[in-house]
Amino acid sequence: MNSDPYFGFIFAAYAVAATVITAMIVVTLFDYRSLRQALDRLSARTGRSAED
Amino acid sequence: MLNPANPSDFLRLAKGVIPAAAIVTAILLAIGLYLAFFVAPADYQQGQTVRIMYLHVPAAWLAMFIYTVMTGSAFGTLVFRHPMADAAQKAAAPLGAGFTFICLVTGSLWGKPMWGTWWVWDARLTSVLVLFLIYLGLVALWQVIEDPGKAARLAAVFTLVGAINIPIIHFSVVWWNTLHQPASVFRIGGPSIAPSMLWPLLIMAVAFTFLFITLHLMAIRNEVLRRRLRRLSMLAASASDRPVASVVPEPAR
Repeated sequence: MNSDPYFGFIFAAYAVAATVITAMIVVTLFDYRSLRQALDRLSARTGRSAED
Repeated sequence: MLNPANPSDFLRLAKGVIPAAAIVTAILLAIGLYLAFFVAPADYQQGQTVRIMYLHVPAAWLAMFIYTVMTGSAFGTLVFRHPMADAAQKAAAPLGAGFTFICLVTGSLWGKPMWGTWWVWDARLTSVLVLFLIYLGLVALWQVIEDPGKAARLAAVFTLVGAINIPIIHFSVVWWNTLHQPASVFRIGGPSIAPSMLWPLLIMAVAFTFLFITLHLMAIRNEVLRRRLRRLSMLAASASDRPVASVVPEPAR
């Protein structure tokens, strides 16, 4: 397949898709981690459980 | 029994479902990519370029499917005023934008070698671009309105108005003369693709759907936590205000 004249187009399509999907996963995970940390900090300060 | 419409129950349910959905996604993606690259043949006209189809078509299906999910959530917001419907709608919009972006870029990268152009302003391509702009508009709407309830209602109305674009995208290749090919999987008379190409395509479509389900559940969980953080912050702020209020002298009578 590497010798295909349009290999660059195929590679670019998969590279773009992988990048966008990875970005969506990373952003969602990072958001979750920061929210969890903020909730933990708040519950430590107020003594109120974050699960309330 | 756990009720997924209850935020606390949803968090408990998500804890078990998200890892399971992620594992199913990874397995299906691995099988789909293996079939797409090592089992499916090259097309007799398009050659190896047809392998872009295994990304482009599932992304296009998801772009429309996610908007349909958001339309259902918009009904939940406007009719039942359910906070989980707001969260589901808000969580889906960036994912819809992401998959629509993949659809547009892979379509362009497929179009250049096959059609000789990166882009044409035909009905299918333009209506998908409009869908992408609607997704971006919804993401922006959620960002600029501070009150989550008001943002949810406005976004729900905007989503329902934008839903008219979904049948336009679907039937654009039937209603107008377009450079884009007509439907070749879901059509009267059955799929026109050879089974050796159809199966990898269907498996990739299911894999993408599971990827969306996983990411959507994760994003809804984030929304539930964000609302909890907002509520607790407001409670903490009002609690810290109380002692201060008690030392403020009463106004002179």
